[in-house]
Amino acid sequence: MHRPFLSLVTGATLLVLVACKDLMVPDLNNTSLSDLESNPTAAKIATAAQGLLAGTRENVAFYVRDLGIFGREGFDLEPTEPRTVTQLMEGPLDPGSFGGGQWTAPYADIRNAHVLLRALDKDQDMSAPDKEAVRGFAQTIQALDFLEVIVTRDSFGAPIAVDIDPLGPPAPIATRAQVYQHVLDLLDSADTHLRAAGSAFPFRLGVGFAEFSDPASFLAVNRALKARVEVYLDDWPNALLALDSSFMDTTKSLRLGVYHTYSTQPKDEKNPNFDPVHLFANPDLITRAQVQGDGVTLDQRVLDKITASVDTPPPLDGVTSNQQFALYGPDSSITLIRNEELILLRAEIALGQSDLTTAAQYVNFIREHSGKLPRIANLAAQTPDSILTELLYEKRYSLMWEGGHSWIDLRHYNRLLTLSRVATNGHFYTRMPFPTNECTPRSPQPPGCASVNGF
Amino acid sequence: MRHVSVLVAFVCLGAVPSRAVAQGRTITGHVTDAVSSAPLGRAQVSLRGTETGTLTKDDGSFAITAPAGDVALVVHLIGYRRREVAVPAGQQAVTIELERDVLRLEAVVVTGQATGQERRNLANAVGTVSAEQVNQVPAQDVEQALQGKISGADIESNSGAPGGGIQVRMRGVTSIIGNSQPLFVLDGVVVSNDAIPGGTNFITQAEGPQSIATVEDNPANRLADLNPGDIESIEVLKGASASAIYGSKASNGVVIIKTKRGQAGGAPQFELSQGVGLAAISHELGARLFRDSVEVDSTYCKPGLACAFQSLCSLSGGRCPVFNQEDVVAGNKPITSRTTGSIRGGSETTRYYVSGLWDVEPGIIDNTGYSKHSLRVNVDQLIGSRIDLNFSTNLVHSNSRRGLTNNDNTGTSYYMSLFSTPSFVNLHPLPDGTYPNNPFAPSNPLQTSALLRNESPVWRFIGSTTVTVAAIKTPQHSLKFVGTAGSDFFNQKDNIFAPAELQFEQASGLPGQVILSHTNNLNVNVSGNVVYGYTPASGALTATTSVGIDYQKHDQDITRTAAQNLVGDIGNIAQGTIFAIAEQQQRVRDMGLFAQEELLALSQRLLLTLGLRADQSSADADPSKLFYYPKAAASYRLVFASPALQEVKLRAAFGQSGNEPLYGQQFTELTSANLGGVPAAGLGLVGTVPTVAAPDLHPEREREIEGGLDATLFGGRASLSVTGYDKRITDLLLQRSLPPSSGFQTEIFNGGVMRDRGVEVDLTAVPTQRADLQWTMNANFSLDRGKVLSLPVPNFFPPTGFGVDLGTNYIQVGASSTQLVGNDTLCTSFCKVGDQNPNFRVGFSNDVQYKAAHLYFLLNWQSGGVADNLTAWLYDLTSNSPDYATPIKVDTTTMALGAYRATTFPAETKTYLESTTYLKLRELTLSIDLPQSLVRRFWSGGRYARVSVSGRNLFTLTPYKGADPEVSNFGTQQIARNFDVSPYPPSRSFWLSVNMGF
Repeated sequence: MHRPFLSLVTGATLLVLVACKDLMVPDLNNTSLSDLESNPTAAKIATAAQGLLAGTRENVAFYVRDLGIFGREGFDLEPTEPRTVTQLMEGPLDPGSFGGGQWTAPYADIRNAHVLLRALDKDQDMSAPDKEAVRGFAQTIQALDFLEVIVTRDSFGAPIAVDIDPLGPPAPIATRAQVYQHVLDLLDSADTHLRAAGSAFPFRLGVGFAEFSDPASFLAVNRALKARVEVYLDDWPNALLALDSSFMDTTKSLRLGVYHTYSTQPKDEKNPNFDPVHLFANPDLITRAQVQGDGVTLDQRVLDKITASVDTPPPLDGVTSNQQFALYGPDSSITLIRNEELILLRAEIALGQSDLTTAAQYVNFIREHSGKLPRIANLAAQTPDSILTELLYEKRYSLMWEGGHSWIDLRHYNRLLTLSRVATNGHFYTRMPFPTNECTPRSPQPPGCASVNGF
Repeated sequence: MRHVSVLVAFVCLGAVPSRAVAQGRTITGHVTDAVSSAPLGRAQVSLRGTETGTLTKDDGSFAITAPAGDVALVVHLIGYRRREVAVPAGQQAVTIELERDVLRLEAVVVTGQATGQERRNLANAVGTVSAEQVNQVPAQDVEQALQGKISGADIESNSGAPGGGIQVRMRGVTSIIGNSQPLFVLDGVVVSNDAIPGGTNFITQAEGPQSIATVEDNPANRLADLNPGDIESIEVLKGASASAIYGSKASNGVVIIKTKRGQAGGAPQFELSQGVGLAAISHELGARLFRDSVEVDSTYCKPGLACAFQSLCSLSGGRCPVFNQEDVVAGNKPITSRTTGSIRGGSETTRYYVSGLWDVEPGIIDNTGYSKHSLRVNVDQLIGSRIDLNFSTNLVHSNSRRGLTNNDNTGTSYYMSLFSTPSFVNLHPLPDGTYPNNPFAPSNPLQTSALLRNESPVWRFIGSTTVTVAAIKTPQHSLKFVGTAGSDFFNQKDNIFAPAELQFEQASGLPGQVILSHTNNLNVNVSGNVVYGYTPASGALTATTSVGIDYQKHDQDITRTAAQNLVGDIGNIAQGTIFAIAEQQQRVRDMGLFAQEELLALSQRLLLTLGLRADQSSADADPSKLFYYPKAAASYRLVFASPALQEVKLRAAFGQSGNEPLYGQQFTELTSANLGGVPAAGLGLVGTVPTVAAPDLHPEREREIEGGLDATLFGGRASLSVTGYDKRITDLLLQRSLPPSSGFQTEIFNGGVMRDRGVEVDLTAVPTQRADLQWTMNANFSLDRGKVLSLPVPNFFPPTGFGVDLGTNYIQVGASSTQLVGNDTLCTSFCKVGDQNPNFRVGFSNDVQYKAAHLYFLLNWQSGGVADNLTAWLYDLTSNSPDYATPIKVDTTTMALGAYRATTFPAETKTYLESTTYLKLRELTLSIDLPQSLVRRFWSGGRYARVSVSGRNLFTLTPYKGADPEVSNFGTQQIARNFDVSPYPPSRSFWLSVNMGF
C-alpha cells in the first residue's frame, strides 16, 4: 500500500512541475494595434499614415459604383448577385445588405486616423514640424472619410464623436449640418497644421499624389476639397475663397489632381471597377449625348469613356446594356479630386452667386476643352435654370463614373427624376440607411434604421 | 518527457512482487460458439485469481497448467460474453461454449485517458461502433460510414464532392464561432480534422476578391485520410459529462478511434478484398424546356435591343432543340475500384497488423474524383511480462479533385453557370475541339469541367507509441504506467489551374489562373498516466485511481500563391504575370493535468466516478491561467429475475469541458497593404474586418448533466437505452458586431449562455439467434433542442451568411440557436422564417444472416429542418427552373410559377426555404459466403470467401427540391449550415466486392 502511493504522489508532483510552463506564443500573422499605440516610432507612424491613404481607398470603387448606379451612370449586372439591380435600382435599400454600404470602411479609416493622432502625441522620435505634417494629412483624410459618409446619409446624419471605447455605447448620431460642419472644421484644422509643417512629408505618398506630395502643395488639395463641400452646402462665398487657394487652373491639364492608385502587384489592389464582365454603362448616356461641331460625332467624353461591350447580358428586371466603360483597367487610378471638377465648381459657384456670365464662361470652357462641343452662344443670356441644366450635363459627362457626382448633383438640385428609371420597378434614392449593426445597439431607433424606399 | 522516464524508473524499481509458478495437472479443452458450435480461436483462457493464461488455437483447443485442486477457468474473447467454468479436481478435459455478446455489454469502453469500464457498468451513454459496423458498405471516409449509426451524432455531408467534406455535430449546437468539430483521437494521438480550403475563391470570388481561399471553397476534411478498414472500434463521447477528462478541447465531443492490432496465437490471417463499383448522380435539378423561338423571345429579349437568342431555336416551326447540359456536366457513371489487404498475426510477445488500401474513385463530373493509398503497420511488443510497447504507424497519400462548385460571384462554377443556361443553347465542342462561348453566363460549364483542374494531394504520416508498464500486479494492487507519444504530420498541396482558353478567363482580360497552396500541419502530443487499482482481499470493491499529464502542440502553416495572366498553358505558377500571395500560420500549445477516481462496488453493481482536469493554453489571452473541468458520475445495476427483464442500470453523470479560442482570436491586429509599392498598415485594409479581441479571452465552458437507464431484456436478446441530457454552454466565444462607426466591426469575446436538451433512445434486439439464422436489429432515435438563454449583447447575426433578405441565422435570446430569419410580409423588419435543426433523427438497421447469405441495410430518417435553397432562386431569377413556365393564377392574373416565386422573394424569404425531411437508404449489402469446401479447393489455406453486392445512398425520399437536403455552402459550421448554393451534386454508389480470408 505504501509504495504505490508514494510513487503516485511523486509522479503527480513531477507532473505538476512540468505543467507550470509558459505557453505564450506570438502573433505570427500580423502586426498589432497595441504596438503602434504604446510604442510608436517614426517608422511605424509613417506606415500608419500610408495606411490612412490605403484605408480611404478601401471603399472608393464601391462608392463610385453604387452612387453611379443611383445616378444611372452604369449598371452592375451579375446574375449571381441580382441585388445590385433589385436593391440599388429598384428598392427598398436594405440596411442589412447593400443599403448599409459606404459606412464601415470610412469609419475604420477614421479610427485609423484617431489611432495615428494619438500615437503622434505619444511619439518621442519625430520632429515637431513632421508631426504637424502628419496631423494635417491625417485630418484631411479624415474629412474625406466623413464626407463619404454624409454624402450618402444626407439628412439622416451620422456619428461624429467616434473616438471612444469601441466596446462601449455607440457615438450619438449628429445632424447633417453638424457632420458637414465637422468636415469643414477638420479641413480648416488640417490647413493650420499643414502650414506649420516642414517642407516635406515624413512618409511616402504614392504616384497618385505626384504633384501634391509635400505639405505646401497638399494644402491646395485640402482647399479643393473644402470648395467641393462648401458648394454642397450652397455657401458660395466660402466656396470661392477655398477654390482660390486650390489648384484650379484653366491653363493646366483637366486631369491635374490627386488619385487613388491601383496595381496588380502582390498585396496591392486591382481596380475593382475593372470588371468588364459585370459592369456596364447606361446606354442612355449615349442617347442623351450632345454632338460635336460636325453634327454627327458624339461628345468626346462619350467616345473616350464608353465602348461597346463584348456581351449583352440577358435583361435582369429589364436592365441590360451593350455598352461598357473604358475608364478603368486593373491598374487605372480613381480620381479623388481634379482640375476639371474644380473648374465646374467655379461655374457652379458663379451660378449660385447669380454671376451668369462667369458661369457660362466656365461651362463653355469645359464644353470646348473636354467634350469638344461647340460653345453655346449667349449662354449667359439664358435663364439660370437652363444654365444649370447645361452645367449638370457637363458635370455628368466630365465626371462620369468617377465619384457619384451626377447623383449628388441631381439630388442637390432636386432633378433625379430627369433620369430614366431603366429597371422595371426603378426607384431613385436621396439617401442610404445606416447599416443594421449601427442601429442594433441604439434605442430608440433613429431615423435611417429602416429600409429606404425610393421614389 | 525527462521527468516521465524518471517516473518509469522509479515505478519499476519500486515494484518487485513475488510470484510462484503453480505445479500440478494440465487441463485441455475446446472453446466453441454456443450457437453454431464453430471452434473459437484466440480466446483468452486463464486460471481465476492467477496470472496463468493461454490462448486457444484456430481449432479452439487449448491446454493450461493448473494446480491439483478445484479450479475455475475464465474465458475471454472479444465479441463474446465472458464465461467462468469450474473444473473440479480430477477433471482433465473441458468444452466451453461462449455466447455472443450482441449487446456488447462486456466491451470495455473508455472512461479516462488510460482507463475503461465494461459497458454494462458505464455511467454515460457512450456511442460505440465496431469494425464490422463501419465496414458494411465501402465508404470513402470514416464519418460517412458512421452516418445514421450513432444516436445524438448528426453527421452531414456538405456536398456530394468526392473525398470528404463531412461535418459532425454532437448533441446540438455547442459553439457559434469556436471550433465546431469534435476532438478526434486516433490510437492516443489527437489527429487533425482540419478542412483547409483549396483557393477556388480566387476564381469564384464567392467572398469577394480579398482572400485567395475561404470556407466556401468546399474543402475536404482531413479525417477522410483514414482507411475505414483499419478501424477496430470507435467510441463517441457526446458531451461534457463523458468528455470532461479531455478538458478544454472536448465540448464538441470526442471521437476515440482505435485501429486493428495483431493477434497472438494461431496462424497469421490474411484478408484480401477487391471491390468494383459504379457511381451515378442521384438527383438532377433539371432545367426549363423551351417550346419555340416565341417563348425565347419573350423570355430573353428586350424590346428595342438587338437580340439573337431566338435564332437558336431554328428547328421546324421555330421549335427549340434540347440539350441536357446538366447531364453532360454531371452525368458520368465512373467505375470505381478499391483493393484492400491485411495481415494479422503474432506470437505471445510480438503481434502485428499490416494493412494496405488502394482506392480509386472518379467522380460524376469530369476531372473530379478521389483516390487514397494507405499503408498501416501496427506492432505490439511485450518485454518481459510487464512492459507492453505498442507502435502504430500510418502513411497515407490521398488526392481529392473536387472541381469548381458552391457559391461564386463570377458565374464560373458548374452550377453557377448551369442555372442561367437554357436548354436550347448548344455548348458542345465544335468540330475543331474548341468550345463555344455561353451567351447566357460568363462560363461554359462543359468547357470548365473538361479543362479546369483542382487537385488536392495529401501526404500524411500518423505515428504513435504507447508504453504500458504494469509495475505491480497482485490480486490487491495494480499499478500501471501508460505513456503515449505521437504525432500527426501532413502536407496538403492544392493546385488549381484554369487555362486561358476558358470563356471566363478570356473575358477577364487577364487570361489563365493558377492557385498553388501548401499546408504543413504538425500535431504532437505526449501524455503520461499512472493508474493504480486497489481491490481489498474481500473483493468488495475495486478502486481505480489515475493521474496524468498531457502536452499538445499544434503548428500549421498555409502558404498560397495565386497567379493570373499566364504565359502559355502549362499551369506552372511561375508562368503568371500578376500574383497574389498569402500566408496563414497557427501555433498553439496546450498543457493539461488530470486525476480521476473510479470506484466499482456492491458486487460490481455500483460505479462511482470523480475526476478533475486543469488546462492551460496559449490560445487564451492569459496562457498561464489554469481552467478546471470537473466530472462526477454514478451508475447502479438492478438485477431482476423475470424472463423479460434481467437488468436495469440507472445512471447519472455530470461534467464540464471547454472549447478554446482559435489561434489569432486573442489578438487585435492591423492589416498590411501595398499601396503601389508604399507599405501601409491599418485597420480594415484589403477587405479585412477590423476586429477587437477581448482582453480576457478564454475557453467556452460546457456543463452537461446526463441521466438515463439501460435495460437488458429477454435473456440478453434485447437492450434498451434511454438517455436525457441537458447541456449548458457558458462563456461562449462570440463575435459580436460592433457599431461600425467605432471603426471596428466585430469583437471576439466570451459571454452568453446557450442550452441543448435532448433525448436519445437506442434499441438493439436479436429476434432470432439460431445456427442457421441470426437476425440483429438496431434502432436509434435522437432529438435535440437548442436555445440561446442569454446574451451580454444585443441579438446579432453570426459572421457567416448572406444577409437578411436571402435568409440568415440570427442569435437571439429565447430563440433556437439554429433559427433562420428573413423578410416576411407579416413582420416589419425581419422575423423567424424557419429552423435548420430537424425535429428528430432515426437510424434503423437490420442484419440478417441466413446460412451463407447475409443481408444488411441501414435506413436513416430525418424529420423537419429547413435548408435555404438559393440554387432554386437563381434558376428562377434567370427564368430557367424546370417548372418556371407552369402557369398559376395569382388573384386574377395568370403568371409563370417561377416568375411568381421570384417576385415574392426576397420580400418573403420563405419562398426558397424547403424542408430537409428525408428518408435515405444509407447502406445496403447482400453477401454470400462461398462454401468452405469450394474455397479450400482453390486454396488449401483459404478460410472464407465472400461475394457481396452493396450500395450507399441508393435512394432518398425527400420533399427537398435541391440536389440533396444534406448541403452546406459554408462548409463545416455548427450554425449557418444548410445553405444550398450550387453544390457538387450527390451521387449513389454501387459495389461488387469479393472478400477472401486465408
